[in-house]
Amino acid sequence: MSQPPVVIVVDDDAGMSRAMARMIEAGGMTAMLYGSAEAMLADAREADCIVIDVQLPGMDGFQLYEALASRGSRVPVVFISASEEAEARARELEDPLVTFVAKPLSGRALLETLKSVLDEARGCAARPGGKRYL
Amino acid sequence: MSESVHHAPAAAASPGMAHELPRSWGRTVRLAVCVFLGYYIGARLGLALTFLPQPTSVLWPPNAIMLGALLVVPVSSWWVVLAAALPAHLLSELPHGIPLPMVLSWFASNVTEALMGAGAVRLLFKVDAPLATLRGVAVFVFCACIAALASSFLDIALVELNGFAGGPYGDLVRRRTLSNITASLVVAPMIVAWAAGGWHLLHRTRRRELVEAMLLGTGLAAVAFLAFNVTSMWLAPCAPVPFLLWAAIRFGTRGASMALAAVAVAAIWGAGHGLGALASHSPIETTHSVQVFLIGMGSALLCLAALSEERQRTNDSLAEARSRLFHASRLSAMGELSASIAHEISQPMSAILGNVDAAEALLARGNLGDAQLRAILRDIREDDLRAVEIVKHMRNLARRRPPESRDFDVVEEVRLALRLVGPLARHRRVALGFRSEGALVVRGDPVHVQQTLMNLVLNAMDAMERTPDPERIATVLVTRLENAAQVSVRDAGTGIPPAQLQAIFEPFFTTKSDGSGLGLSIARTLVESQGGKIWAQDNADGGATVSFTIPLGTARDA
Repeated sequence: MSQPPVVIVVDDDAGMSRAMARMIEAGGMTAMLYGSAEAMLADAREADCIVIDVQLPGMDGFQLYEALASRGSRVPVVFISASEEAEARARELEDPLVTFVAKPLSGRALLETLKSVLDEARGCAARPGGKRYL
Repeated sequence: MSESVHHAPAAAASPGMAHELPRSWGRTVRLAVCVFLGYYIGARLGLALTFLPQPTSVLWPPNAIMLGALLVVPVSSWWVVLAAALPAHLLSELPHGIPLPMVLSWFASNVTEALMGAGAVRLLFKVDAPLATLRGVAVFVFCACIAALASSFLDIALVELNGFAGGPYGDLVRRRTLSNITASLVVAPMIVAWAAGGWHLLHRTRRRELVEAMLLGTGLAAVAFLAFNVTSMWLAPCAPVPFLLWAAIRFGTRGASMALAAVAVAAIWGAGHGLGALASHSPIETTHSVQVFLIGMGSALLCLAALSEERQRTNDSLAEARSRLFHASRLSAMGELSASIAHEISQPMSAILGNVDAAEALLARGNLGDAQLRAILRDIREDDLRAVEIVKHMRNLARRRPPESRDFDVVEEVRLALRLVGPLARHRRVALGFRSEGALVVRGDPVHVQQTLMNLVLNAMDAMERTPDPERIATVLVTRLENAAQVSVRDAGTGIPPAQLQAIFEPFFTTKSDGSGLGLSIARTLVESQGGKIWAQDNADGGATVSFTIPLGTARDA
């Protein structure tokens, strides 16, 4: 029996994090929550997808993305933000593993995005480095 | 009659003709009744104010009442004033056995005076509010004098024509002229001042002002009584001067005209009874000195009141302009913070949506337990309240409002402002720190404090544009001084050259390529209007600190 996919959520807003965790779990996945990029990097867990709020205290979402990339991570990233500038920046990365979801964000939209991201990742499961970001 | 309907003042015009007609008629009838009563009572008063056996009254109010009415009603309604005055004139003169042609002749000279005075003021000099400006007062006094003088010649000619009483013409002209000028300066200003919304103003008067007006009235009545009815010291007529100045400076034309009328009553009453410094053995001389006293005092007082009102209007428009500037600057800061604000609102909204969708998904799968449902509902409520708080905060900042002065916790206001600036700071890679020693009650305007702080933090972030990432730190510090709270914003930016530490608070001083140079100057005005100070220092270890103070509140915490 296969393990449910693990989704890491990095968001400093506790209310928002809890709502996302509930949604992820209602979608049959496991959620892991971190309040900052630094906390997540220090913990270094395996995951199938990482949801990152762009505006984080300390290291921001894009810096976290770079840190993960420098560690050789091939885990898909979903950026969330209300800022159009952040959306443009996410596009400029031109990384097929990066998806952007604009806020205000519905639970359904997040879940659909996660499912398609995970399906795509499964499609290229042979990818080296999949399911690990360390 | 149709003319008055046609020319009804625009301000009072109602949208439908059906309402316009009766309202306009109502106004016409009201005006006619007021003029009729005013003229009749004025004529009786004029007779009562005559120091017999000399025939001319000290002041003859009917003409001044007509003049006052003509000065305040639209020119198209002047005929109402004249038409209403005629029956009042006949009613007051005919019972004394004066022949009708003479009575009508006097009415003609009275009407001539009022029409000449009001016509010159309004049509020749184009002055619509004769007492509101110094020029207006000058025009009014000049026109009133000329009209009284010119109509007096007509009056004497008509008296001669009717073969009524005679006498040396020079004396008659002088007596009538002085009597009518005195009335114009004492009676007409009251009508002009109070007709311009005076009664509505009375309803809006604050209690403190009412108490002040009552104190002034009582003091003036007592002093005027003593000065004109008890002592006959030659300097005594000057005793009411401080009260007249008080009335003119604090209560403008309305106060000055009332105070002058009170002094006129006291002076005429005293002199008429042979009391006070203005009384003499000859009634003619007594009349003369009372008139000269009232004309001199009245002109000076009206000028002073107009100056005081002009100054008040300047102050009001300055305050209004400042309030507009504060508001515009607040809106501009909110514009800069729009991304921040969007983030702050979208956060709870997203959480609510996420929770609702999660609950639906869990329900669909049949595994939504009671405890989880309660937790979801609790989170939804909290997030909703959070969004409401932010919207309230925005509304409070965005609306235009008069400045207020009240006790509030400065730390709470700083926190609110930082909450709006926070997301922008993160976006601009600035670490925003905040330190305080707990709640601190100050007195001032909380919105002004938030506005000042937002200005300073936005400036601090601009100053750190070229500061390397890990050093981009802005710290807000709230400390308690002996009599004030001090809020400091410390940055690690380019610093401020010592020569510019003062200049940065001057309007239009800026070192930014896209700066208006108004931010810090507005911050200074905001702080100083609350009794605080603002200053800048260059940090020894780089960057600058801008600090401001707010006086501690009256309900100080221990």
